[in-house]
Amino acid sequence: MTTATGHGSVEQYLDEMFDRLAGTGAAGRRLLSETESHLLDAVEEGRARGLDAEAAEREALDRFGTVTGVVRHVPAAARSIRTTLRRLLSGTWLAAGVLLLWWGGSGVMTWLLGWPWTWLLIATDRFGTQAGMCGRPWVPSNATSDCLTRYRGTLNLVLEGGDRDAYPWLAVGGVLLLAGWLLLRRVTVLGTRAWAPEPAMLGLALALPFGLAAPVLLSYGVAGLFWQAQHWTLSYLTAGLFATAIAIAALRHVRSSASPERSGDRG
Amino acid sequence: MDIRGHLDLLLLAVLADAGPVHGYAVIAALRERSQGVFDIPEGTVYPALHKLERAGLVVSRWEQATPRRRRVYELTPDGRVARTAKQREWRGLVRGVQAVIGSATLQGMA
Repeated sequence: MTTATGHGSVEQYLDEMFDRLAGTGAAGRRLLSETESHLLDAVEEGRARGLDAEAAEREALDRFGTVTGVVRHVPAAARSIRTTLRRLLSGTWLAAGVLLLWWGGSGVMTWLLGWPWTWLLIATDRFGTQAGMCGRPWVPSNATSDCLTRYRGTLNLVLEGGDRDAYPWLAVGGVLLLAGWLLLRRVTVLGTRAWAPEPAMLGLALALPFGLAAPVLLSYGVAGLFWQAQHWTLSYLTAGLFATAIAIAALRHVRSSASPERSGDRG
Repeated sequence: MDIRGHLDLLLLAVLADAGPVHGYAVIAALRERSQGVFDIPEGTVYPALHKLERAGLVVSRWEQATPRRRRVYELTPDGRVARTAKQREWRGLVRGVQAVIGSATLQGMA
């Protein structure tokens, strides 16, 4: 890309800037071109003052500023509609993966936790407020299945019923979407900035709905505990806790994307 | 010295006096005329020039110079008007700040 350089610091800088400007369109190309011209002029000026090539490059780069510091002044409006749509598509892909994983995963976890939960209900008789839950009249004497299986069968999965067989598939679908994204971004253009969703936007898009849903679901679940341990209690608690975890992770993602450590680069 | 918020005026002033110049010359003029007081990352001047261009205060064109082409910037008539207005604002601000600093100093001495 350049010609008059010493140990390649300017080329390295321009390469990094090129990567950071991906998706900024004509404004980015123009800034890159002007940066190259400017740095070569500055290096030549330094050499004319008697500096060696390495020192001249270092001085030129120090005066020019960090890549992050310069690139962040390229306005968002300069980003093309195509880039916006690409990022929206990527963000939707990831959000869909998280949503499927949450919904399907909550159902699967409720199903798995159903055994200890039901055993606890029967063993304590506490939640039902009635003694002898496995005896008459709660379970008929000629029951074809044991007490545990019978009660466990009445457990609802996520949010009042639903097709039990679908939950594992939904969870697997979510995992496949997220794993596919991680894999494709390593080997395709999905790994470039042009396709990368804005961390803050994606984080907020997940934190907001899950953060709002979590307390509602948890409050239903907790209320159910004190009201004869309704059959939907476990599913509400599970989905609420899972939503809380997702909201916290998304908020941490927003915070880390805004921290200077993440946006810093070499000077 | 932090000159954020005043870079537009400085760039308009340099361009008004220097005529059509490329970015490197604008930055060199800023450095020389301020006698090194303004310590800004030079790279931030280009996005600032682009912003002025989008606002219609500056026009630019590629100039094929030896050994490489450069983008040359020039003030528009609107840019000259804006420069005068911003200069007036700045002088008013300086007068106001000076008045406050002056009276505060006098009070502190009393």
